[in-house]
Amino acid sequence: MLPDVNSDTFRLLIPEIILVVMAAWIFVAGAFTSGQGPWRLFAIVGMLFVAFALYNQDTSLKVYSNQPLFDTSGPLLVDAIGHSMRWLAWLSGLLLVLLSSRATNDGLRTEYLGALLLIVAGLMLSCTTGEMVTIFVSLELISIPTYILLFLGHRGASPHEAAMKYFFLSIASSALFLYGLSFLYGIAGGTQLSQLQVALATPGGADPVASGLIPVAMLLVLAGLGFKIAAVPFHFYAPDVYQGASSGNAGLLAVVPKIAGVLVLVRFLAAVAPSIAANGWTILLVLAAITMTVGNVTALWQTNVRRLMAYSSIAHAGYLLIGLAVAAGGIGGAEATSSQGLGATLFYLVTYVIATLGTFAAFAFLGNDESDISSLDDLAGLGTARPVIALTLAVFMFSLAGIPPLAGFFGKLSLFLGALSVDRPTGLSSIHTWFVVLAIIGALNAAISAAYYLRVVATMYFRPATRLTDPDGGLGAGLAAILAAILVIAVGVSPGTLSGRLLRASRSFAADSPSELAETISDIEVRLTQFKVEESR
Amino acid sequence: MLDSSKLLLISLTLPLIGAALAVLAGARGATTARQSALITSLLTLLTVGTLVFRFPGGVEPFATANLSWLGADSGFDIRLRVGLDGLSVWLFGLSALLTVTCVLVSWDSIRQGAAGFYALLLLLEAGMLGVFAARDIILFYVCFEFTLIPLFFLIGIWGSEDRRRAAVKFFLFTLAGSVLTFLGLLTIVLQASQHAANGQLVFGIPELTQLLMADASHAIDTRLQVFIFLALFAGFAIKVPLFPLHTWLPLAHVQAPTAGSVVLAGVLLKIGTYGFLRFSIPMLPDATVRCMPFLLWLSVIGILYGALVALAQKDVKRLIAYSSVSHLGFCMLGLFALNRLGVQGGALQMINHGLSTGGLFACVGMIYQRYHTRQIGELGGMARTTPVLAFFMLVFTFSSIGLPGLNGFAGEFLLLIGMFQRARGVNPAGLDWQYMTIAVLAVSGVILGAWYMLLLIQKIFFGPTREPSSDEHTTILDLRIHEVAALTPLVVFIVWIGIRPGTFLAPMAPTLDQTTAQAEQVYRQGIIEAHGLRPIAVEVTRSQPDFSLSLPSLAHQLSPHSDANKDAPRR
Repeated sequence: MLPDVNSDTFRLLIPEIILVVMAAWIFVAGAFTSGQGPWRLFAIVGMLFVAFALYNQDTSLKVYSNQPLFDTSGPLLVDAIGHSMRWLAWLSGLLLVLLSSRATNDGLRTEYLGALLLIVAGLMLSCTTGEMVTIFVSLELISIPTYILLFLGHRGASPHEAAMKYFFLSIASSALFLYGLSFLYGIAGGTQLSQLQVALATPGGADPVASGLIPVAMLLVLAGLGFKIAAVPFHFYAPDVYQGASSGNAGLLAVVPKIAGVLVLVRFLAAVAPSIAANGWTILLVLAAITMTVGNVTALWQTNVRRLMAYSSIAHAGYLLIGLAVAAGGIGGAEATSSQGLGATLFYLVTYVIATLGTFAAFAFLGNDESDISSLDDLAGLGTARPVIALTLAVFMFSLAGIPPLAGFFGKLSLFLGALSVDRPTGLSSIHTWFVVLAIIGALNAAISAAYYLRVVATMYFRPATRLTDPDGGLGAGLAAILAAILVIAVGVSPGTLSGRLLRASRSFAADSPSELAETISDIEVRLTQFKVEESR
Repeated sequence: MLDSSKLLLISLTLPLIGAALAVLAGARGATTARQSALITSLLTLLTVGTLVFRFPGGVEPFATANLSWLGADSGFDIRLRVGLDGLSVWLFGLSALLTVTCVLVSWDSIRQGAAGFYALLLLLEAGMLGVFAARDIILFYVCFEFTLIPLFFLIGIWGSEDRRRAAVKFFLFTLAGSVLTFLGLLTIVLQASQHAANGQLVFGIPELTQLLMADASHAIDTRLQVFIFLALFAGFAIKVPLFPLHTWLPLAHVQAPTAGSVVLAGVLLKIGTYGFLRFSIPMLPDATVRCMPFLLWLSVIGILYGALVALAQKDVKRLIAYSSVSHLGFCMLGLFALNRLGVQGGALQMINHGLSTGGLFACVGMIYQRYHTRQIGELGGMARTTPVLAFFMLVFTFSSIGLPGLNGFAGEFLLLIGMFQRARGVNPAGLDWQYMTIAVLAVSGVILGAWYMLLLIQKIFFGPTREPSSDEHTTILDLRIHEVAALTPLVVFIVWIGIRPGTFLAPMAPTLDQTTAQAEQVYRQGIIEAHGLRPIAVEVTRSQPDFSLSLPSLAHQLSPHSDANKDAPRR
């Protein structure tokens, strides 16, 4: 059964369509103009239109009311989780557009910008679909322009090694992912994740032999997505690629695939939830523990800031997996646990994305035409030489380390609270112990990670300037860093709204019994009709 | 008249506003920045002083405010619950008082980046006040951790030669412990919330204590309690610092700027003991009793070790830093004696140590500013060149070694009596030799304390005048007016507490009794069962305490007769 594509599909896709049209326009018209100033402004104004379209959907679809909104027959799925992540995608897109103002040679800047907008479009699409082929296409829509960006890369330094490495590994991971999808297609008899969910949840809905392949399929999916989120053991590319890429590109790699990977993983986990209840959590738990420990411990020895941030990004993938492990471990347990784990993951993702993008924006701002910020020593004395940008970097570092009262702290709070509350009513009492151990590993990792984040801060503030270069990364990058710092502080001071919204979104996601699902679907049909009526007016 | 809750909120926000003002004022020069910082810290002291003055005593919380923070539908009903009670009221006042001292002692010594310095100092004050005012477990932890950031920068930017290492070590050491504390606190929340009426997570400290104490069946399982206790111990014991987790302290103290040392010794170390008093003892009574011998031994080892190492120091600041290890050992000893006199002595000693060691560090800073050295061997005969400084230093020293009539005596005396009482205590079979050994060793720590401090005083203030030769220092001036102003309030309180400790004990006593009641009862129960006595419900009856410390009242408290009445189980 192939998904129907109709006019609603296009209406729901307005934000993505705006982005793609803009990108195309920039590609074509940019070839006939010199300079890039107007195009950047054009892109930013376009992003504002996208925000307006998103906001419009927020209100007209009542996305944040309690039920998910499947377009049951079409390829799209608009629900509270997806929609929140679309906003996050939009925000990272805006920051990326700002911070890349000097990311490449003058002549290639329009191409760079166009590719960037396509990536944002892909990211937003991946947040808004619940159909396997569309998910794959959206992930490729992220990957392919990323290859281009890595090649456009940076002035002077040779980016090709990084780009080739990323290219080949990315292709391999896509293949694994696609292979996993083929199994799931066979089990579900369709490409919709909701079909898979219904098939697995109704007795006799899926071929029992085929259902036995769920673990294999999920392992393949996990391998493909593990690459995207840079989880151990799929992380080996990250340090080399980040080191070879420009600050802007490294920021993009640290953030965009992670958002997409986490969200898609969440969708797959939710779809197959009943089948992995028994031991799905173990593999996620082990991956989480290993990933954060490897990331944090290896980061201790790094002297190159982008390598350091690469290992930090790996470590944070581990933290994100804590939340997913909690979500998986909570299946069949107390009702709130699963959704709390999911909500914690999403909240953590938001805090990670803002702080990481801010960090790379600051690095981009500090670089200039001759050299990027690469060694830690390049940051020495920044506290007195560039107090504002140093302050933003300090805010990001403390937030990533999870020091209150910054955003990262509340991310860790909700993750640990989730991990400590996993318990099942019967049988598997050892599951609680396992998650307590995970929480302890996570807490110790937070302390380890503080060591290298603190080294960055200490270098900036406690060492005299040795070889400060003239920052020439463009005003946009500085602006992006300041904007991100304000957001980190704001989320830290008042995390309630965001965490509440994400928690409620996650709650709506845990509608896994077939009757509930059917109810949900009928409710959605009603709301979709309303939507059509409203739109046609 | 403002009502007290509003006043509390004002005193919590004033330093934050002051920090912003200091940065703004910094644009007009260092003088403006420090003046604005002085004004803010004085205003804060005024509001805090009013609150402390108004504190009525008793167990009821005072000046409470309960504002929404994360919002009820965020999933975590973490609120801005603040208020004062007997445990926190003096420490709250001490934080504000020492901040003023810090601003004044930094007046001349901080020349570079003064605006940033004072802004960080005021942020630190906000954090400290927040720790003591917090009545929400997460708010407490947020403030607890937040204090690290300003002090990290204060040490790292304005410290001495090895400041970078000291700042990083201080931060990481403390953080490593406190992440485990965090897990412990979250576990308490999850455990206690099982008994909550609506199944929501409870984050309020009084609510949590109430939930856990409400019913014997609500208490956390003893084995789990021990784990939680150890998790909390990791953070609080590092903060105290309890032997053998003290290694970060000497380095941080020696490298920190004067104001950093004052506030670190004066207030931040107390956050550790306060944490034990606020969370471990009341919420985990079974674990407290189980871990009690272990903690008492660590405390007494800390007392002796700190004192012996202090004897061997050549650097004044290091010496005082190690004396802190020793003195905080006394505080912990008192708290974990788990009887009334011990706990009161320990709590009073927290304030005393803040005043005396805060003062000592301030004096050392003043010496350093004059002679550019902290080496004991390079100084001598300063009583002649700087008599006023010598006077202040002498008062702080006497307070620190527990000279009768000054505050140190009252605290140490009480807590040592408490410890001896514990040794003789409820055990019907007679003396408990383990506790008796600890108590006797602790007393020898007092003697060692007098030894190293008086030796220090003798070397640097008396004897032939010695001044560092290789230095460009000009004529040595005695204390200036602002320096006298910085130290005088501390001396006033040192004498006041020394003469009338009751004034300061009375507001704390009811809350302290309530805090330790559960643990004490568990202890008695344990003794009764261990001696094969008929397990009877021991009613912890408490007579109205008499705080005048007059001899008859002490004799009453100490007499074997009353003790037997109170402690011995009826057969």
